[in-house]
Amino acid sequence: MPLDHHLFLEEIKMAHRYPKPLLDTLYCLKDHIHWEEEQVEDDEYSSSTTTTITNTNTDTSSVVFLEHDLFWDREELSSLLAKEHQNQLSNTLQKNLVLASSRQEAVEWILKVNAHYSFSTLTAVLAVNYLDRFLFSFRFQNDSNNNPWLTQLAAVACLSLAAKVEETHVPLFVDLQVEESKYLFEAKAVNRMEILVLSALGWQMNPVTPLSFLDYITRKLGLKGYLCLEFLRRCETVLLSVFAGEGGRMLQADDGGCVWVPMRRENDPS
Amino acid sequence: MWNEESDWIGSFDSQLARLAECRMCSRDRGERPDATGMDLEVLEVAEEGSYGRVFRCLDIHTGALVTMKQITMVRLSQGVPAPIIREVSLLKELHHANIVKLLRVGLTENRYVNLVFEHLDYDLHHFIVNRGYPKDALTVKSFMYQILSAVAYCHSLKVLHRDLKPSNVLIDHSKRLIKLADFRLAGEFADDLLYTEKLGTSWYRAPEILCDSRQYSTQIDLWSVGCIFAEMVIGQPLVQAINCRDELEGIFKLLGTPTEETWPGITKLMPNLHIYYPKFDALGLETFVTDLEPSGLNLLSMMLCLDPSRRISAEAALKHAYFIDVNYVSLLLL
Repeated sequence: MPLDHHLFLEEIKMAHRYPKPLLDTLYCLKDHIHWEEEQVEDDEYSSSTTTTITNTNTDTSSVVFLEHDLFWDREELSSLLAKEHQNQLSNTLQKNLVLASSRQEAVEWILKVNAHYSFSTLTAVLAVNYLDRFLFSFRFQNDSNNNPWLTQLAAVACLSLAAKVEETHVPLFVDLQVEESKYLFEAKAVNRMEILVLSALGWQMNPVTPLSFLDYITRKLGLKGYLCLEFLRRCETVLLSVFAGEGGRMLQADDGGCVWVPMRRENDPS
Repeated sequence: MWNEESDWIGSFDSQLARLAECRMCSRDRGERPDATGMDLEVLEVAEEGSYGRVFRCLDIHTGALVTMKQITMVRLSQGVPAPIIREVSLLKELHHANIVKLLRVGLTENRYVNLVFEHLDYDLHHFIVNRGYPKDALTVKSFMYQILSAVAYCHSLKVLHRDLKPSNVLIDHSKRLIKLADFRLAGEFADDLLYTEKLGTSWYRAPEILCDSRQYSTQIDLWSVGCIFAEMVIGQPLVQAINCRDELEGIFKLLGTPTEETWPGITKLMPNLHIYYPKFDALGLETFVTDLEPSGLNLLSMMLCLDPSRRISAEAALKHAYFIDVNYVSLLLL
């Protein structure tokens, strides 16, 4: 239907100042121009959206495909999108290759430790989310003395915090640093970094993640039992691969929708 | 491994931690609490709990009364405790007129987490005990509507409170406004913490928890709200009004010992039910909860329903006939 098609395109908007990432078929981007003015102590974050344009280069076949299979409850989807914060670090990393490099190492380290302890995918996603928000908020990119060890220390603190939020058992700080790294931090340093991260993130430790969207999509698809578990397992594998892939690409929360497309095709019996 | 996440003083180094805690406690007892950097003037100690202390303070900039909850971080070697991170993170997401507002979070000396909340005059427990329970039927109805509004909001966000009781229901006296507080257990699976709490607090605990069920959901909060409802009407905890040796026996005397017919699944949950509890015939809610209009009693019976799957939801309760004859706007202008 023409109306539905139009409404769907409305949801695929891109702020003109950001280039369309190569890997993204679906890319929803809201530009919160007041982000940089947010105070750590503020309870509520007010934002405004800049002018956006419809993506005229949208892959027609994908749109048609999605239109047939997605019956999203608009209210819940809008709620998730409204709560999502734009990952502001992406643009910064393009200008600061040293930070980009240390961030990539940090992300790889997080994924290894996550696997070592069999933490959940959500723990890994949360840890990377915290790290990106923290790095941006402290604008290491402006520091003439880039300290790679600071990024690694932040990674340890972020993984510890993510495990505390999500896992039942949390290893000691020293035990957490099982994977080989250039640095080994003592408990006191990690403790202080934890406090710094919590303050920088305004204690908001339950962000919208790609998994939030996967949970929603799975319910809408009506997948149950083994099929549901298998679907989620594959989606999580793809998400972690994206993390580990080229330069640990920035992961938007609604990339959960992108993961869905290849998964859908893979499950197609034909 | 940190095996007792819910208990900061883990078994691994509980001896050392307790010693450290005592030392800190004794050192601080005679001192003014450190509110450095919080821009607060401490007026008095409002409460001392196992996790820390609560102070009444004055905000230096606004002149407003606030409540500061100061949580001692024990076992600093493990950083900020998970329960604190979870509670604060959760409170940051809850925005509702009937939920106490967390104004800001501060950390001092890497030893305390200071949570600054808006201040309310007193809690419902204090209201019932010291001011005579709200005999005014309209006040009971207003309070119930506000409590249910807050609970329905939490449940819509998939958040359970898990510890609803009169002392966690705060009251703004002049506005007759209700605000829920203390989400310490919300979102956290903390069985040992639940069971080690002092006996009094179990008066509001749902039967499925008392039966040691590990699978429970939003319905547990509705049971607690039902207990609060009854207490506002009769002026004392409902289970306390019944002669019984424990809470579960009191519930069974009141509503009848459950059978597979009245509570499907009960024989699997409590195989030895009839060894420990005789087959009581229901005394009935109306025996104890007098002076409540019929529609109120009907709503109460749907909240205090033994079978969790048949218990009314908060959202449905708000639409119950008990509330239909009242202009909701006027409720907030009492």
